[in-house]
Amino acid sequence: MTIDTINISSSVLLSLLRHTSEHYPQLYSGALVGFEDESLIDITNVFPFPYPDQYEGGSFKSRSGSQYQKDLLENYKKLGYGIEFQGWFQSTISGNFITQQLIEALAQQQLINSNIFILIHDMSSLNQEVNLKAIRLSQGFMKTYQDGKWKSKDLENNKISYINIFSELNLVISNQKLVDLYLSSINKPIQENFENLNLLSNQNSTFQLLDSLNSQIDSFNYDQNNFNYYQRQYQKENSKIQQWKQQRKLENLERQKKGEKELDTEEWKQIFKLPSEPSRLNNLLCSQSIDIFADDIIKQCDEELKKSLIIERKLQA
Amino acid sequence: MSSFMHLVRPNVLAPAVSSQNTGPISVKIHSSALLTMLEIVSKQVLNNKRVLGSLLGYRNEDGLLIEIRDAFMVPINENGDSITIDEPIHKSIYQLYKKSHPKEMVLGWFGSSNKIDDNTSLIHDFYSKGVDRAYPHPAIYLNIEYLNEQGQIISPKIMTYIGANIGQRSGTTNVSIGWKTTTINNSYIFTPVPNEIINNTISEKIAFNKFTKQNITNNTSVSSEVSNLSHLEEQLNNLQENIKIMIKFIESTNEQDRSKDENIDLIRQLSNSILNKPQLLTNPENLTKLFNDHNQDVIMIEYLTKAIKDQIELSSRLTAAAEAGKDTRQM
Repeated sequence: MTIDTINISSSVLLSLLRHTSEHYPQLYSGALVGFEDESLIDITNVFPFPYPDQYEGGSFKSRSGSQYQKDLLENYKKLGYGIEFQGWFQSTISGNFITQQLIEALAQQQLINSNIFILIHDMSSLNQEVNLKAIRLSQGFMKTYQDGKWKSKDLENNKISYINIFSELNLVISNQKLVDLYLSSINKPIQENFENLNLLSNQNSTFQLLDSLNSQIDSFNYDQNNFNYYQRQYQKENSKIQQWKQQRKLENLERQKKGEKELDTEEWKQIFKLPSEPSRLNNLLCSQSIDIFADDIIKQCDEELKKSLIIERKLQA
Repeated sequence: MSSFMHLVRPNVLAPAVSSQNTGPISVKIHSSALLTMLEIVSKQVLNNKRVLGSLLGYRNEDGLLIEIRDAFMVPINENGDSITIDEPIHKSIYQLYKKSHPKEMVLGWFGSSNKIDDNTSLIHDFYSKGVDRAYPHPAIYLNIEYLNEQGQIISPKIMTYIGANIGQRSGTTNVSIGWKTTTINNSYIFTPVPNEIINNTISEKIAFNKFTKQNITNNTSVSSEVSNLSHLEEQLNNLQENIKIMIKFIESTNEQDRSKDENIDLIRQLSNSILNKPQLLTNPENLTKLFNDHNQDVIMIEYLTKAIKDQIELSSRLTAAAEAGKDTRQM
């Protein structure tokens, strides 16, 4: 059984948000450390990696990144914290975080410790809302990963489609009592920012999302073309085989009449070779990414329409 | 809230302080750093031993503006009037921190106590000298006071001080600080300097506001969820709330109050913002057309995006069905 509740301290959350938001549009990632309880994972510290990521997941397997993570963890252990590596955070835009590198690194860590997770900070609505989710690769995905073949049959057997690559975890923010005491002593809330009440506040990011969606669709199509080629080849070979079988059948009928010995009907297996199905992994990842992009775009459009309706009612009044 | 009047500027002897800089010092504390410190200090509540740590962040060129951005704990061993600070750990954590935050430096230290004692000076001296510490700038001392005189826990008070060296350098004792026994000066006078808690990015503000609100509405709660909450919905509610308050205020003011200066100002501001309408509003027909066109565009984008979503799903299901069919056909 895996632990599906992530308890993150408010200071870690703020540090993380500051680091990712201050460096926007650069992407950053880092290690989340803390300890495992019986029913939850407590995150007590966050260590951003020294360099920005060229793409999501880029630092997880780099030598400098993991060395840095190791050094910091060793030093923090000396402070008397019983902390261990629990996962990573990654800043991203919408569905962009689904990269081969990120999946690969996460899968390898999950093989070592099935409770490892990743915290995704989606910055597509940066400055308007905070969008965080804690996820890990689903059990079905991990099984398929270990088989390593990624054929449609394997996906079917493990009940995996692009929708359930990840399983989402509960994310809970918790405060130490002293922090609670401090927070309740602030009687003046910080000035709210009403920027996202503007009708067009989503415009730039919707643009950006549509752009990214387009390029994801391109890579999806690239993969799909390969797959279509395989399907055509398969069909071609298959029809040849059927022809051959038909012919042999006729031949055998002939021979039967003549009282000769029948020829082997399974011989085609030595003559023809059916192409094998290419890996479906890329297709899975692209589909999931496209799906997330689409969801985010729809959400932004919905928000804009909601604001529009309010204004429309005012216009008519 | 404490207010400050800088009649006498603390006279600090540190090489980087030029005598011309007589402006007041102000300290900005990032809320993330403050919460980190509070979490570290929480350990002290349990075993009642002194806990301290290093402050990290920026200092502007003239050293008058200080920004505390992060903090980490440093182990110590306190024994009566001697105190040992684990310098190697301070150093190695700082060096590692510096890799991911190259522009930041050690600004000073933080602790939690309800009085300034000899050891406060000893620690301050440690942070004021040597490499990888505040030197050549004056160190900042931040104190989180969470106990009142009766020893009861109160909501934490945050004070920042700057320490000025007083007396002769000969105030030496054989106290070990770090690993070496050095000549130390334990006579400091601590002058409070004003501080301010800040949230640098809007993301932090949103999160921080959420923490405080959750805290007020549900004081016993330890947890709160930030993810997956439509911020727009919340803001619309806030806006509505604000308007309600405003209307209530306007309705409740009586004849006499209405002529008060501040209320007249308010009315003026309100009517100005209503009268200040963009050029477009003068031509309602044109505006309505533009507005409708825009909505159509948005609906179109939404429609196409949904179509893409469906196609992806269809493609996935069709492939699965096609491939599943192959095995049986072969048999």
